[in-house]
Formats: sequence, structure tokens, C-alpha cells
Amino acid sequence: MKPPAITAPEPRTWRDLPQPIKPRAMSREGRKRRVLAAAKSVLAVATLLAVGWGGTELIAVLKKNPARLAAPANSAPVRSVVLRTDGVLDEAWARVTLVLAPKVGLMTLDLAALQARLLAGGQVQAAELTRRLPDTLLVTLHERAPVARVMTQAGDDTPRPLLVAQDGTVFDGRGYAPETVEQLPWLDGVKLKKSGPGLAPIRGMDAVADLMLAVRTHVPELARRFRVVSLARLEADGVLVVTSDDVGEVVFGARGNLARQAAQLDYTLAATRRQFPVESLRVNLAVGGGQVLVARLMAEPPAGRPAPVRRADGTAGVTGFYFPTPKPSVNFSHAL
Amino acid sequence: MLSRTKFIAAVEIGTFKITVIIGQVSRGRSLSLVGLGECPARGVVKGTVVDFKAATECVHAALEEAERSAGARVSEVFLAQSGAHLEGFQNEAEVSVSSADNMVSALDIENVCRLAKSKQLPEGRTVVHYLRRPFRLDGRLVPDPEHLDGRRLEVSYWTVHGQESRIADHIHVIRGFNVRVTELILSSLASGSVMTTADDRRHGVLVLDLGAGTTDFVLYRDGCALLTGVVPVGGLHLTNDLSLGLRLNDHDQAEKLKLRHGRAVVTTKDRAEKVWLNGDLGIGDRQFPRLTIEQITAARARELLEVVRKKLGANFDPEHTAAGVVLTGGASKLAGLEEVAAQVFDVPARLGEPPGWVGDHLRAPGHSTALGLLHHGLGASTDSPVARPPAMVAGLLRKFFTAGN
Repeated sequence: MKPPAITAPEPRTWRDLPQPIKPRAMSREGRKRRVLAAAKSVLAVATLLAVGWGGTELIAVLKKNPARLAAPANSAPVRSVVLRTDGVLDEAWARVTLVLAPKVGLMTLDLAALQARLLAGGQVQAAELTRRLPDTLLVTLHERAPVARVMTQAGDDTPRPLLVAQDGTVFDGRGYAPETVEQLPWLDGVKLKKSGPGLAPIRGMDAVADLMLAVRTHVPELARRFRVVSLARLEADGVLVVTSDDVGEVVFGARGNLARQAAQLDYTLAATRRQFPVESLRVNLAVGGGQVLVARLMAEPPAGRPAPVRRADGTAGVTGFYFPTPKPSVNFSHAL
Repeated sequence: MLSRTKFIAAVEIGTFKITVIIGQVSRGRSLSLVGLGECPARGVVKGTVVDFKAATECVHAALEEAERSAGARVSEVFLAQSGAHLEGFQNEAEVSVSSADNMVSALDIENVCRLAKSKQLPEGRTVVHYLRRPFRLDGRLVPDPEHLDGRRLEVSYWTVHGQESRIADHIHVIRGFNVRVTELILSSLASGSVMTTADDRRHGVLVLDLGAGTTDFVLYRDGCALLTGVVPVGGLHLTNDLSLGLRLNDHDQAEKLKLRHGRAVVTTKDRAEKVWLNGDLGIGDRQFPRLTIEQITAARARELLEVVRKKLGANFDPEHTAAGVVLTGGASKLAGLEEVAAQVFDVPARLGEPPGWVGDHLRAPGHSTALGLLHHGLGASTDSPVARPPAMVAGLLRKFFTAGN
């Protein structure tokens, strides 16, 4: 309310005194603080102006072309796909597998779908896709290593060799050199089952991988000559039966020490090679107790030898038993 | 205000030293003492700046020291004001209650307060404080007359005013540090608010803040400041008297004797009793009669208190000063001063004790004004017609000082 007219105005108080003083009357610290305060004010004004300008620009874009805000990265198409892998696949394979549309924008890529495409073949165990602005897609792969190969045939189609990894995954095996593939043993005694577009993993491949690793490590020249690894008796007897160029048949105990069995095989072949051609031998390393059972496979019984004996499991061609005896005191077995 | 925490400096520009205490105010509710800075004063005589450059250097040095100890920059300053240029007068006003039912309205209160404050000042003078006294409604004292029934409403103000140029000098010294002075508070009011309790003020108490160059006083009655004043005599005058009386050329030596052997009451009877100046028997060390020292300091101390008594005049009534006299300020450390004060004012006298929640390092009487600045500046508004609840203020300050370093 307006005060009555008869009331005199209140006198000046100290608050009416002007406080600002000239810079020359200020101390050094005071001038420093003044400059700092001025700088803060300038910064605040600049920030406000920048925010204002940004807001104005935003409003202008919204009015003229709102689509620019909706898809800000559409204007940057993928120009290159960079592949990093620990295997054999290359960028050409990646491009073919990813099936990128021409001039597709980097930001519009569905990375999850692309990752699924990379993993579909089975050869890739893990895939990571990263956008590298402005126009590069980085693909990082971890590939499965093949342990063996298996021949497949669907209906009347031509038989097709596939590779099998340690975890049992069956895949095409793109990009491998022929000599690398040829060194892989064939699998026998497995039943392939369909699972979705591909094949279900083969059980027991861990044992095969362990066997191949042990033999390659200790007797690499033998490993190169392994032709067939049969998993037929793996579940029932716990053995892997290997057919090799060197030996007619080798039975490995999958539950035993495979490195020791590989060494036993090497020793046995070396000891026996002087008496018999080892190609006709059947070596059983799964007997246990350090015993190695060696049998000779013969088509006809030699003169003066015992009559052919049929094996209990019906395996044909076993005509007799011969035992290499590096230590004569041990009959029918070879203790290492 | 953007920040919820601010740092406020309480600055006392004294004749002997500059004291700065920094308080941190959080969310406007809690306070913490975070910094202390002190510096010997230069360029200040009797509470007035006479050498702007020297005073600026000292004040800014104390501010910088306080900021360093606080680890923060102050944004505002509460400044103590003292000096002989400060004067006060009482102005009364009365209005008839305007409503037909005789119920006092806010408008009546506003009108009477405006009338009481409308006294014009001479040229070059400016108001420092309006200290409102209790309202009188038909002759009875009431702290808040709103909605009470009555016909005549009276109020009186004690208006403190000072020389505009001298006040501006003080403000400009602070402004040279590029911080704003948000409160200007009389030294006596600042000391009185922290050295007395609400009960003391209600019963009536006289607070004497004895500084080096001036003695500030405030007389409380009925819970309000009745009057204030400044006497341009302080502890340094005792030192000067000693210097002259003992023929000492060195002012520091006289100060040393005053602090060690000065008394407001003569107790020595042996005229032959001597005291050593330094006590180290070195070159320049010599003896002085203790009786002479006591006689000089006692005479000057009594004279100082009598000057204050005379200045208070009829306003001081021992019957209405039941809480007695409270002595504070650096010069109040003179031994026996409370005894003389009791004799002069004819009421009990005591040395001011800060509240228990004040930390030990701040309990010296020389810090009372700076402490009171924060107390008074944050918690009380002397010219507000509506009184603030004192309990809340006490709670704030209790937090503030107990949380202090």
C-alpha cells in the first residue's frame, strides 16, 4: 500500500552507498578475483549463447527437415568391412556371409542379425561386430579348429566331406588349404542327425581331439598317417579304434592316459617292425595295466601255425596271435 | 542463488588487529566454522581507516589467510563497524489503531514503524541500524501487537548512524578484495549477541566491548537493544599512559608491561616492589615499580568505565540491569576490570564467556565481535518489525560452532 503522504522518506542507509570501486584501488588478489569473476561471467554468457544457438538450430531443423533428426547417420554408408580372426576366414567370406546391401548406412545395420549370419555356418564360434565411425564395420571372429572330417550324403546327393570341431560341431570348413584338410582323419562309427539347417554336434569328439593332440605331440609322424578314427565302440567300451597307414588297427583307451598310449604304440611298432610288417598288426592299447596286446592280421594261416581263430566280436581276418616279446619272460603281452 | 552452499566471512577491522572468520552456510540451515585469519592492523586509528593502502593490505592478508585455512573462496562479507563517528538517537511514533474493532493490523504496525524511522539525518550521515524496541499498545509492552486489541500503538527506534565517508572507506577496503559487503553490523551488537543470553537481554544487561582503540557498548532491556555507543578510548590508551608515565620510548615495551603487570585495581602496597621489563637481565632490561604500573592502568581503566557510565546517562538504571555488566574485547583481559566495573556501574560485572559450543581456539575475548557478526548477521534482523524466533538462531549457531575446527 502506498504510504501516507505526510510520512517523510526514510533516510539513506549504508546499503545505499555505492560498493564498486576502481580497479586501481583494489589489491592484486582483488584484481585477480575480479578478472576471474569476469571470465566466469563471459563463460556463462558464452554457454548461454551456445545453448541458444543450438536450440535455434534444432528448431530450424525440426521445422524444415525433421527426418534429419530421426536418422542422423543414414548419410554414412558402409565403405569397408575389416575382419580380424584367429582362423582362416577372410574379408571376402565375411562380405558374402553378411550380405550387406549396397550403400547401407552404418548406423542402420542390425548387428544382431549380422552376427547370427556369421555364426550360422558353425565354423565361427564367436563373432563381434563394431561400428567404427564414420563408415567401417569391424568384424572380430573366433573360429573353431577342425579335429577330423566326416563324409556326409543327403539322399541321392553327391557325398560331401565336412569338418568336425572339438565340440562336435560339423561345418563346411571354408578357407582351409587342401593339405591341411587331408591330414585330418576321417570319422567312422558316427550317426549324423539333422538339427535345424545343419547337423547336430557329434558326441565324443572331445576324446578324438584329445587323442589327436596326444599323438601329434608325442609321435607326430604317426598322427599324419591316421586315416580313420572310429567312435563305434566309444560309448560301449570307451575305446577309439584307429586305422592308420602304418598299422592295421590301433585301439586306444579313451579313458586312459593317451600320451602314454601314444608312446607305447611308438615303442611297440619299433620293436615289432623287425619281426613283422606292422601294416598287418592289430595293437590294443586299451588293455590297461601297462599291457599292450598285439595281434597279427593274416589272410591265410602260415604253414605250421595254429588254425585260424574267429574273434568273439566276429571281426574277420584275424588268423592268429603273435606277441612281440622284447622281454621273453612276458608272454602274450608287452610291458612297457 | 545457484549454489546451496556459500562461504561468508565475518571481518572485524580493529585498531590492533584484523580478524576474519569464515562460516560455511549449507542449504541456508546449517553452519560450520571453516576458516580463521588474523593480521596486525595498520592504517586504522580508533576503528577508522586513515591509510587506505595499508589497511587494505592487512585486511586482504587476513582474508587470504582465512580462505587458505578454509580451502574456499568467500562470496560475502559481514563487516563490523566501530568508531567514534557512530552516534544514535531515539525516535518515537504512535498511531491510532485504524480498524473499527480496535484490532491491530499489519498495516498499523507498518505505519507506526515507518513513522518512527522517518527522521532525517544531517548531510553526510547514513543509517547503520534501526534498533526497534518493544511496541506499546495502550501503554503495555508487547513484542508483537498484531491482532491484539487496543487504541494507541507506539514504537520507538534507536537509530544508529555514522559518517558516510568513513563507512564507505570500510566497505571499499573489503570491495578491494572483490567481495560484496552484505551486512554491516555494529561491533557492540555483534559482541552482545554472542556474549549474552536471551535471558540476560530480557533482564537487562550492559555489554562493553573494550577494543584497542575504542570501547563499544550496548545496553539491552526487555530483550531489545535500548541504546548503543562508542567511546574512542581503548586498551591502547592504557599503553600510552604507561609509556608516558614510565618514560618508555618503545610502545611495545609499554604494551608488554601492561599485559604482564597492569591491573584495573591497585593491590600492591609495597612501594619498593619492582618488576623487570623483560626479565632476561639483558641489555635494556630494567626495573619499574609495580605500584606505579597498577596506579596508571587502574586510573585509566576506571576513567574509561566512568566515561561510558556518563555517556549512558539516565538510560542506565541498575534497577533495570539485573544481568549486570558483561566485559569483552581484547582489553577486557586487564586483571580486576570486572571489579572496577561493578563499582562504577553498581551492578554485578563479569567477563564475557562465549556459549559452551564455541571451540576453545575461539573463546578468546578478542574473537567475540567476529563470532557475533555471524551470529547477529545470520540470525537477527535489527530493523525488522517482526522478531525472529531466537531458539532457531541458537540452534543454528550451536551447529555452526560445534562443527567448527
